[in-house]
Order: sequence, then structure tokens, then C-alpha cells
Amino acid sequence: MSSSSAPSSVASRLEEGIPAPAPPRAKSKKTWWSWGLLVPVLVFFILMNVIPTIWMLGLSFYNYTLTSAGDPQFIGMDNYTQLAGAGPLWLSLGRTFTFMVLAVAIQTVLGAVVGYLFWKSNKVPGRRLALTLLFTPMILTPLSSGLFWRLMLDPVFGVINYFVELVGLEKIDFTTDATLAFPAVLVVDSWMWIPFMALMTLAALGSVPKAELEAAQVDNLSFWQRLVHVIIPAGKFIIILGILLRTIDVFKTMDLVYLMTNGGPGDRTELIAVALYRLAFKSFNLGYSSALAVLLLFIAIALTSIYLFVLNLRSRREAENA
Amino acid sequence: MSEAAAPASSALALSGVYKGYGSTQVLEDCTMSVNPGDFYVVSGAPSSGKSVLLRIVLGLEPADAGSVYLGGKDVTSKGPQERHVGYVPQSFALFPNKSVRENILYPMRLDKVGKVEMQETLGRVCDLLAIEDLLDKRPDQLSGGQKQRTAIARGLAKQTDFFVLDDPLVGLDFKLRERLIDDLKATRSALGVTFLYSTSDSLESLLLASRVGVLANGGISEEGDLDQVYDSPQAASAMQALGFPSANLIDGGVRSVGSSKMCSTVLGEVEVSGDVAPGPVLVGIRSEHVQVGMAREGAVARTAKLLFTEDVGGSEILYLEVDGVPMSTVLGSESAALAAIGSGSVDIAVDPSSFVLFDPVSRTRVGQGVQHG
Amino acid sequence: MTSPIHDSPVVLPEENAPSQRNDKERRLTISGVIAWIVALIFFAPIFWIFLAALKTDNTILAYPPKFIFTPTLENFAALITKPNVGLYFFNSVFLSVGSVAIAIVVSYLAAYSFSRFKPAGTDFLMFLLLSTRFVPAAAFVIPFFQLFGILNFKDTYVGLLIFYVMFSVPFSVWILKGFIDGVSQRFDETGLVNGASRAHVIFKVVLPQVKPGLVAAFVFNIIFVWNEFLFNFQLGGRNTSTIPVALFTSLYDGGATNWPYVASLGTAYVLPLAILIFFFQKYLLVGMTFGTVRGEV
Repeated sequence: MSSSSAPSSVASRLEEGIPAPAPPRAKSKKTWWSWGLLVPVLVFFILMNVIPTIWMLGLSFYNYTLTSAGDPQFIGMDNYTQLAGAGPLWLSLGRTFTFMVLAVAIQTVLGAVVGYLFWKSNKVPGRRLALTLLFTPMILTPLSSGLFWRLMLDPVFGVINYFVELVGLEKIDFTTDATLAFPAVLVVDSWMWIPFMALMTLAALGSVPKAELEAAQVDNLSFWQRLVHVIIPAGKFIIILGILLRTIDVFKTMDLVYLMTNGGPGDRTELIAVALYRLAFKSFNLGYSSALAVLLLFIAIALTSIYLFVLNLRSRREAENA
Repeated sequence: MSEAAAPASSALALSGVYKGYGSTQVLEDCTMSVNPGDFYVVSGAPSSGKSVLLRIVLGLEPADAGSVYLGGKDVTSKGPQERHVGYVPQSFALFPNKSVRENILYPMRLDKVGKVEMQETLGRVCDLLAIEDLLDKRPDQLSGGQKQRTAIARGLAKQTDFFVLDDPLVGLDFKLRERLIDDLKATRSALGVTFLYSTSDSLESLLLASRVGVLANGGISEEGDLDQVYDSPQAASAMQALGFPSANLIDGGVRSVGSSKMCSTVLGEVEVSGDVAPGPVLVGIRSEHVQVGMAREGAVARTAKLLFTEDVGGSEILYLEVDGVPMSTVLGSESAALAAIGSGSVDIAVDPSSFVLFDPVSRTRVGQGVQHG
Repeated sequence: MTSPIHDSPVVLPEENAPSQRNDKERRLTISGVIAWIVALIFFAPIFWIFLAALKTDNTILAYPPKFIFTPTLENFAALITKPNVGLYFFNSVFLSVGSVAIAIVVSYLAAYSFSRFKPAGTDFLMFLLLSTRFVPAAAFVIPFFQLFGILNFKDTYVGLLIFYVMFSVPFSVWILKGFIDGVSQRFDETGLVNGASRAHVIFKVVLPQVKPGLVAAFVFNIIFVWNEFLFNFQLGGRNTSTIPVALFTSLYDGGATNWPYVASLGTAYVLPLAILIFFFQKYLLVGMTFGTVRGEV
């Protein structure tokens, strides 16, 4: 429509000196409700998140060791400069990165295979029970997984070593072996999280429009063609979200390692979260470990941003399709 | 724009309502009035602000400026709960956890209506909409048309005499719509209440309205009795909104020839009357006034290129092009003229009296064609 | 900006159930057999603990490991007579159910506000909430340890309840906002126009329509609190220890690991989780993605 000589805009109306109307009551009532409903969550959030975060930030500027007498001393950025020069920490950050790449790669690939397997066999008798058995490992607290695997990996009576001997090798103490401890943790972590990636794969496959799949079948596309042209375009976002969640989780991995190897032997399996915990509760260096915690907080915030970015991409794309 | 009718006598009156979201102004100085007993249809293109207008009437959105009167009382600052308006939302919004019966009783339960009256009203609206046998079903067991009937029944169950229906037939198939249109008309007159109804479908406007208001450019560009607005539209938007298919709007030029004025368009030149200044004009011609075949005495005629046709149930819309200007006309599916059409081109003719002239800027009526002979 | 969570069209699992049932004629295929074998392999380590729980101490420590043995319920009998085991279970159930119940009420109100009123900063607050779940728990242990000391919250139900409420809020808000976004605002408006108060709309109009979200939030938060170890270990004590902490401390209980105890307690810890997974499988996806991805498996 072309521009019209019809009514002037609000702005020009105001210029003409017509007083602006008082804000209608309905609006202020809505504002009252919108914030009123948030109050309980905000109270909990401030009490249990904001205050601890500020506390942590504050601590990170102090020299504060529980084991030494004397008051905490304000030392400015010293903890951070010390952090920047702390070789072992950067080493464990690098180790975390290695672990992350390996774990996420293994779990994504094998999870995709397992997920596809269950998607193909969606009519198998007892599928729900089978899925329950498959999914139970990821629902356990990592601590109990570590504990359960200790029973199996025990160097003296562990069932794994029984199989090791069956194939004609010597018994191995996996959790203290310098070369095998890291792979052992990786295997147990993958045992827990392959099912998760299988779940994400199932969701991704479930999000592929049925009509498109049927069309692909009619067109006689090969498995790879279907994968590249139909399945991946529709399902990739969910897989990416799964990969991101796993990446984030690796940064949090603590209990499992703590229970299996306690970061050892030496520092072979010391991931960053383990290092942080050791710093705080073994050496009681609160100021310094808070500085590390702040660093991890920033990493977490960065990862959250990436996660939400992908999530937004996905919903925007879905909105376009709708 | 006419002054709002004295609020006291009207069922609903809006006066100078403004509403904007961020930098987009949806309603600008919107003024309208609905009389008691009207079947008032707000007609306008999709996203012309009809829903916003209704939401302001309902109190679901505050107006940035202006006043809303219901039954003569200023309700501008009142919440939706205090306005006592029956409401049929655009999507059905039937509570999935309630039976059809409970859905319909919902407005009365909230108003704490007595049991006897409740059952009476339930019986009456069910009767009107023929949904007695659905009462014990759940909304997810209903077909689209049944859901719509239930939603209308729930809206009508409110103990009031003013009802807002927000494009309730959108998305329903043609047959179902026709039946519900009849039901809605009958229901309104049976209850003797006032309906405020919005639609972007000109056929619905034409079939339902007793009074119509055309919403364009943020305001009611024209309102009045349906016949009056249809027969002599005062705004180009009103002519377009009330036409099926939408009226043709083509460019024209007016020049003075002696004491008379002539308007030339791609169709030819006709004499025009009215308060028309020489210069460009916008010419409105209803689709149904574009004749196909032999030209009558005095008509202007051209040969148009036929682009494609569309079957709209009982009639056929022809999409044409005359010297690059798109036009449309409509013929009965059974008509001889339709059968005679070859491919590629069509001979069309328009009586000069079918020309309606609008100012190209204000888009208000300035004149019309003069029929000779 | 719209909230990142709205999978349109929103398909609640129930809605698809009937159509699914029709074409679900059971069939055993090769891929089905392999799938079952894979499932059994993944479950084997847990099954090994189940078996250990039915063995005597000597059988557990036997080498080569005994695959065939006479099962005994001795360990479970010993478990329930242990003085603190009842308390661990009570603590796990009380802390998880109690905190999650509170968390869901406050989260539902907040999610309603975020979804319907979109107050300024909604996206930022949603972001902050999610990020709290993405930070390594160890990062927050120190400030909590000290704050709980100052507030005298250590080893108290009040302190741990408050902690676990906040622990459960981010996930609950995310999942519930997603579900409330899926309920058309026309419902709210139909209520308001017909004279309903806002409270009526919140609890009588919208709440019944997001029951699946409430169930999912409830089940998964229960699981998360049931599983939480680090904070209970650091902030709790002999009065408020939960099962994971009991499992952990039993490791070093008198030098050597008391495997019959660990195995039977571990079994008792796993079984409720496995049962929940079995019955609430359709919520697993939304549960494991913090409410950000919905769909079926």
C-alpha cells in the first residue's frame, strides 16, 4: 500500500502537543505478576548462585590457605598470574582436551551406531526393557560406576583380568598402570556415555520427517545417499547438541576419575576438575583454587553460549520449516 | 473520519486508539462504533491489525492511547475480567483436559451462574450449534468443525450480550464454513445479541455482516451498513476488502475536456463526474463488473491476456493482463461465456458506471464514471 | 528473541502413542538380536554387581570369578540391619523428594512468567540458569563449604534442602518453560476474558496442560539429586549422608573394601533408577538434555 495521508504517527501527535496518555493499569498489573512470580526463584538464585559466585570471585584475589595460620591476605591478581604460569594445571587442561576429543569422538561414533541399531529394530520384542538396560549406565552417578568397575578391574580377583588371562596375557592392574590407566578411564566413561549419544541419535533419527524418508525409499537412494541428503540435514542439530553436552560434561568429569584412579598414577588421569578438587581439598589452597574455579566458570559460560547458539539455530530453522 | 457515535447508545465504541509494537505502528487513531444488535464484521487484509484491535476491545492488550467504551461505559483501564465479553478465539483453545460439556460450562462456572440457568444456557447453545451428542467427548476426539462449534458454543455461553469472534472460521474447509456461516447468522439473531467478528475473507464479510468496518492502514477506513459500503465504497480499501475476488485497482489519468472530465485507463477513456481534479487517479472496478464477451453499448472494451483460471467452487476466477496491468474477473462455472473462452486471450468490457475513482494519495472516493445511453 | 526451546510442532509423546501402537507388530530381526546383545553388554557391569550382591564375601573374592554359584540374600539381610543404612535411604528419599517438590513449585511460577510475560532479562536469566548446570561442581564446592559454615547449615536438612532446591531449579525452569511455551496463550486469554484471575489461569488452565513436563521435571530432578555426591559429601555429615556418599565412604571402611556391603547397597541404589528409566523412558531425552531437546526415542 502506498503511504497515506491518514492519521499521523504517535510521535507527530506528541509534537502537536497532545499529552501522552497515562500508562494503562493493565500494563503495571502485568509487570507486577511477571516479577512476583519470579521472586522465589530469584531468592534461591541469589542465595545459592550469585552469592557463592561473588564469594568465589573475591576469594580468588586472596592468599588464603586453610592449613597455614594467619588471616587471608589480599594479593590482587597474583593467583591469576600464578595460574598462568602453573605448568601442571595447563598440562591437565591439555589432558582434559585430549580426553574430550577422544571420548566425544568414540562416544559419538559408537553412539550413532548403537542408536541406528535400535532405530532399525524398533519392533524388537522387549525393546523398552532393552533400552532400559542400555540407558542405565548413563543414569548412574559416576561415583557408583567407578566403584562397580573397580570390582571388575581388580588386579587380584577382577573378572576383566580373568578374560585377560584367558587370552593368554598377564594380569594387569589397570588403574595404576602408567599406560593403561588413561585408556581405562576412557573406556568406563565411554561405557557410561555411548548410551547417551545413542539416545541423541535416536532423537535425531526420530526428527527426520517420515515423508522425506519414504520419498528417499521410493527414489531408491542408497544408504549413504539417504544419510547425506535426508538424515544428516534433519538430524544434525540434535547430534551437535549431544556433542556439546558431552564436551561440557568432560570438563565436569571428576567423581569417576577420583574413584577409579584418583588422578593417578602420578598425574596420568588428572583432568582439570580433578585437579581443582585436589587443589581445594588436598592442599587447602582456597584462594588459588578459586582462581582456577573462576577460569572454569568462564569456560562453562563460553560453552553455554555455544550450546544456546546452536539451540537457537535449530529452533529458528524449525520455525522456518513450519 | 466521523466522530464516534455517542458512546451511551453504542454497544462498543473505540475512539482514537493507538497501538504500536516497537517501531511498527499497528493501530493509528482507530475509531469505530458498533450498535446493539449489529453483526459487525471487521474486514481487513491479513496482518492489518484485526486481532490487535479485538484484543484491545477484550482488554488483553492495553491501548497506547485512546478510549474503549463498552455499553456506554469507559473500560479503557479495565482488565479483561471486568469487561464481560464473550470470546471465541481464533485457534479453538478448547481445554484438552475438559470434556466438551465442561468447556462450554466454563464461562458460567467462572461467573458462578446458578445450576438451572447453566443447564438452560447449555441446552440452548448446544441446540443452536447442534452439538448435543458431543457433550461427553474430549476435544481431541472432535473433528475440526466440531471443535469450532464447541468453541463458538463456549463463547456464547457467557452470560452477556456482546461477543467477540476472532476469525473463527479460518482454516476450515469451504463446505463447513458455509454451514457455520448460516449457523452464526441464525445464532446472533436468535439471541438478539451483538457480534464483533473479524475476518480477512471478503466472502465471510459479505455473507455475515449487517455492519462492516474496513481496517486498513491502522484505522477503520470506512464503516457502515454492508449494502451501503458495498454499493458505494468511500475508500479504496473498502472496495478491495468487500469483493470476491478482490476489486481491481488500476491507475488512471483525468483531464478536462470542455466542461466535462475524462478519465483514461488501459481499458479506454470514460467520462467521469464528481470532485475530480485533473491528474492521476486510482480507478476501482469490481471483478464481477468486468464482463467477458461482447461489449454493451457505451462500455469500454479491450482484449486481455488470460494468465490462468482458478476454480473457487461454483465460480471461476480469471486472472488477466491488459498491457501489463493485472486484472481479474469472475464467471459462473456453468456460464456460456466461460465455455466460449479460448486459450490465450479474452475480450473484456466494463461499463463506465462501474468505474469508481479514488484519490491516489488519500485513497478516498473522488468520483465515478458516467454512463451514457 | 524467542526462547531457544520450542520444538515446533510440539509433539507430546502421548499424542503419537496410538499411531505408534498400530504399526508395532513385534518382529525379531537380525538387527533386533544385535540390539539386544548390545544392550546386555552395556548392562553387564551392573549385572555383575547384582550377582556380587547375591554372593558371599568369599565367592566375590574368588579367582577365577564364579559365574555359577548358590545365590544368597545374606548381604541384603546384613544391609538392612546395619545401623545407618535406613538413615541413608531416608536421607536420599527425603532430600530428593522434598527439594524437588519445592523446586518444581517455584520453577513453575518462574517458567510461567518467562513464557508469558517475558520480563526484561528473560533470555539472560535463562542463560545464567543453564550455565550453572554446566560449571564443574568442584568449582563451587569451596564457596559453599564456607558459606554453609557461616550459616551453620552444614549437615542440616534445611541447608541441604535449600541447596538441592537450587540444584533442581535450572533444569525445572528450562523444561517447564518449554512445555508452557507449547500451550497456546489463547488458553490464558480465554480464561481471563471469561473472568478468571491470573492465579486461576496459572493453576487451573495452564498447569493441567503441562503435566508431562511436570512429571519429567519431577522424575529427572529426583534422579539428579539421588545421584548427587560431591556436595552431600562436603556439606553433609553423619546426619544427612545419602546413598552415594555411603557407597564412597564404605570403600575405605576399615581399610579394605567391604564388597558384600558395597554390592548390596549398590544394587539397592541402582534398582529404583532402572525402574524409573523403564517407566519414564519417554522423558529420558528431555531429561538428559536439561529440558532443551524434546522428542521421542
